[in-house]
Amino acid sequence: MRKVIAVGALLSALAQVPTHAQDAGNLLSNVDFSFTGYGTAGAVRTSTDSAEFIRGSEASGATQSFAENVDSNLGVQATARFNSWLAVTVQGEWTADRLTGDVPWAYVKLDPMDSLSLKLGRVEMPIFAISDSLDVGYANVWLRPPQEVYALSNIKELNGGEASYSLPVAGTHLTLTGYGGTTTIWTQRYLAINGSDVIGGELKWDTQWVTLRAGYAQTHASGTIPIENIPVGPIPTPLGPTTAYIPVTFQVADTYSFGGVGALVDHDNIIAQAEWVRRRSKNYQDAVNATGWYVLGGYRFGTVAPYVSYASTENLIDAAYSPSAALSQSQNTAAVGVRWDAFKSADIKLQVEHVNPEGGGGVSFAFVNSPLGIVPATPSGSVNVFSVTVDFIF
Amino acid sequence: MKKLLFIIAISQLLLAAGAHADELVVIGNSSAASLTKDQVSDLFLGKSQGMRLIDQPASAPIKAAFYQRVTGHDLSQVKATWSRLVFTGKATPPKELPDSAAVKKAVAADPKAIGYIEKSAVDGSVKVVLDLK
Repeated sequence: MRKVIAVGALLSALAQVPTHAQDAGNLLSNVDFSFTGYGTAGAVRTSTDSAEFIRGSEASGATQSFAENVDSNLGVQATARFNSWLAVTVQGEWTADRLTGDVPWAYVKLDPMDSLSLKLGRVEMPIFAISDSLDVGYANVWLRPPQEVYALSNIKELNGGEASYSLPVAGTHLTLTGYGGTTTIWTQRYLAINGSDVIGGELKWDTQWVTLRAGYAQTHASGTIPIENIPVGPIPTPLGPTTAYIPVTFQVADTYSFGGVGALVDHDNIIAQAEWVRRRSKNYQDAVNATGWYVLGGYRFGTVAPYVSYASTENLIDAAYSPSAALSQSQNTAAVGVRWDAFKSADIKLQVEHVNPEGGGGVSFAFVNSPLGIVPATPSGSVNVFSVTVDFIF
Repeated sequence: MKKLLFIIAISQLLLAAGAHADELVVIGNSSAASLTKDQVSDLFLGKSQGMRLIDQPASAPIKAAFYQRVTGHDLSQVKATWSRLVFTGKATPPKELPDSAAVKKAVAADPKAIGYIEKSAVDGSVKVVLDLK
């Protein structure tokens, strides 16, 4: 019955179209289409060939020879704004980082009030102080986000809904965001498992020159991942004794959570940023639990903005536990860099880093294939990294 | 001492720039209420929504002067700020129109529009919501 009424309503609406043809034309001509894009072209080289330096969850990266894939990306965005409260946005991105899908954003945005906005579809979760514009190099002062914090998250994109409410408080803005849906969890072996029942939120306070925020997200994790192969042998063969490796898979069932606090300061020419994050698992604490933090300070001399940063992450592995099964390992990085707004819609950035994986695999190095499966690469000692990028928007 | 000289040189440059720029006003529709500098800054940096922002082209000297006076940011900073908002769908960027006459016309036609022009270009079709002396 309801269906019949709906069809009837639709038919009568259609029947009215010819008489309101001009209105329909106006409606279409009032749609505001916009096409924009961003990109980064970069090259990175390091002081070692013993491990490949990566960003996020890339599978390969830089060694003593330059690699272009580490920071390079390209994004295009189309937005159709129908009126003051309805818009549709779709964004496509090309990047080597598998945590970012081909379509990081595709949503319908509703603004029923000036202070309330709803997004339905695919959005990036506000997990960090700078999470939504993380891939837009031009939007940020740093060349690359500190991996000790930003590479810790195994989740990024949400399929679901997000509601954001902004409240003016004495000349400042308080924004409350809540979201829910499903996601994809990228494990350390570059395999995706399901993230269901995602719930998360962010509380953000913006003044003229400072932003303070706290966020939290959790999801149910399920799926099958391979773990270290079991060596068997030596087995006698016609070619002599050899070792066989038996692949082992593991059924994951967990509650994964990621939380953090951050502060961003942009006052006169002073730039300062600091964040602290915490990754937690209910069932696999030795493999998952980790904390990370960084501080960054910079100063703008006109179009040139030099900056320094220090970042550190620590995971909480029990001595009896195999570190190679952990999602990430401890690492710290000291970096110095500069952003130069050399062109109208493009900047040039240089960054030099001293990455110390503290004897383990750290968070900035690609896993490698071995007889035991895909295992962390362990660089021999600290690694110096030199990076150059050009960020642009169009 | 070098630092002091540097500061003096910079402040003289700024003073010179200020003296040459036309007097600026922020304009709204004739029904619009007055705004404070902070409110205008929040709007043009995407921190608050609800108005339709009308901008001048980057080639117009008035644009850099407006953002410098209202937000304290130069144009590359403003551009970086907006790139953050645009690529996350948080706010709709200001609509760029070719000159002050076009800005005035757009603001006069839309009760939710806000823009900025030279004080000398103001007429009865729009209301000055903030005078940037």
